[in-house]
Amino acid sequence: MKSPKILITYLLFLSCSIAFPAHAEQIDLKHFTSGSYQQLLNEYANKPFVLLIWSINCTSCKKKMPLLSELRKKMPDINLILLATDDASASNQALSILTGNELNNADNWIFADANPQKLRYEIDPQWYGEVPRTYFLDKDHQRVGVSGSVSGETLETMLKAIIN
Amino acid sequence: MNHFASLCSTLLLLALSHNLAAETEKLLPEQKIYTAATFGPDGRLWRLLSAQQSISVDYSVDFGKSFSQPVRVNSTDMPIHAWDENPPTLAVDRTGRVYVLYFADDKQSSTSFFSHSDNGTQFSTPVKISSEANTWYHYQTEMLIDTANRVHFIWHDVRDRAEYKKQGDGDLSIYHVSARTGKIINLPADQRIAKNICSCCRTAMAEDVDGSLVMLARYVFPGNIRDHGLLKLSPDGKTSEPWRVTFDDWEIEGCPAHGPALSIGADGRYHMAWFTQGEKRSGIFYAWSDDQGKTFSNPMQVGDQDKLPGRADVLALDKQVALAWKVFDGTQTRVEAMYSTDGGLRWSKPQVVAETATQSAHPALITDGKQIFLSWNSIDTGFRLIPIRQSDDDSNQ
Repeated sequence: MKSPKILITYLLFLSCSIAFPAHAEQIDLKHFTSGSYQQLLNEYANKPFVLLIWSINCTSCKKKMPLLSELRKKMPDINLILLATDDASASNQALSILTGNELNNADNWIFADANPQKLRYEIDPQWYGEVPRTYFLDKDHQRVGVSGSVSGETLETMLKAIIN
Repeated sequence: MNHFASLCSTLLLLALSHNLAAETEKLLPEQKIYTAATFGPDGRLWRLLSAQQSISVDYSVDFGKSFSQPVRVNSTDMPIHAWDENPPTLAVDRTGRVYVLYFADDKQSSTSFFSHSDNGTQFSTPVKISSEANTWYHYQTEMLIDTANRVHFIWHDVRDRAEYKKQGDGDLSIYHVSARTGKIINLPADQRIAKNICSCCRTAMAEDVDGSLVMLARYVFPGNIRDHGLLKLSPDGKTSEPWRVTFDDWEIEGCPAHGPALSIGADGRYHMAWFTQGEKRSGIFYAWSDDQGKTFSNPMQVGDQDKLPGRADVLALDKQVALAWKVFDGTQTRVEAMYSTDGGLRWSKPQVVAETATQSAHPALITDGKQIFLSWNSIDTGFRLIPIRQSDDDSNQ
């Protein structure tokens, strides 16, 4: 009784992996440690990007995810980095939330350092840790940081501002 | 997403979660940082010690210089899962009974567990606190033993999600359960006592002199104002309507991840400390109330704004009141404290009482009934018990 079920599941799983390689590619979130923010700045040198910092316990963060997902479809060129401030053990919870919102193929990171206070400080010495916290960086990496959810309208305006 | 795609991602996640379960345990942050400490009626200092797979309890008869052999609480290994804003709690009642509240991954992540002991030599089999512990994610549970020998638990619970979604704002609810203490403690079904609570700020709890339980929580007031409200649970089990007590107008559709602190003195004075980045004021503040929280003194700003002050705790012992908070300069984390001997009217200058360059827990103030101590744990130095008192050369301002 049991083995045919497993086989079917396996076959379905296999066909899924083939049909959706993107899902299989990013099965885990990148670990954000001391120096990772600088690494992002280097990686996205001369490119504008949005860094959205969120948490699995943050209701407002999750509420705005569908909007973000929609916007990405409208503006596919935008570099979107999502960073969860939960510890790395929450990776699967975070990933399931991201997947549910079709954001699992963005550049996804999760805090993975013994001292989260230090990580926050490296990103922004003025930031107390409230989430969501969104940073809009233009190609010169001049940035604007916003605490709390931003409306779709604001998001679109800010995105246009950093692109141009 | 079409049907096939969503089925696929579900399957993929299921398949992944098998591997991830094992992975997750490895990735849990260092749990040993989350030590809780409290004094027993005989002056012994009790500690709850967290490890990756277990919780244990030990005690000290010499103010933390040396400790007894630890006694394990959970006999079977489980992935212990606390974080800064979700720490475990230890309580010892007047008869010396020991109560333990901790968090471990179970059917839901970071599920709240409770265990107790008559004298700290052997602990009861841990039980889940929430009636819906297997189906709904809940966290930030707080425990208090009141003077009528009841053990209370309050926590943040996401089970009313559908209601909030319909409503369009407000994050989650506070649930409560209490039981008479004794050799056997049976927890009845829990009940919702507060709505529209901000999801990731711990709620503070203290017992008033009249025996009621007072809670200070960060609410989601209309317009996404995340200021604080008080809520009272009287000894007969009736819950009051909440009322707003901080008016900083912090409008944020988000999580401050920064809960308040509350202490009620033997004289009935309420002392609260809170964090805000509101329109009207920003930083850590302290205020007191002599009318059971109906009105409060003018908020007093605490801490150096340039050093990210936060995580304040407050404790009143008769007319002595202490405030402790954390500051960070990019490298060093310091705990600063100040002291009042007249019930919070005048305060000493802030003093640095401890520091570390490594990860540390939030500062906690505890008392043996004679003086106030800072209980603090950091990775480099480990547990520290530091008396908070007025230094000889520091006169009240």
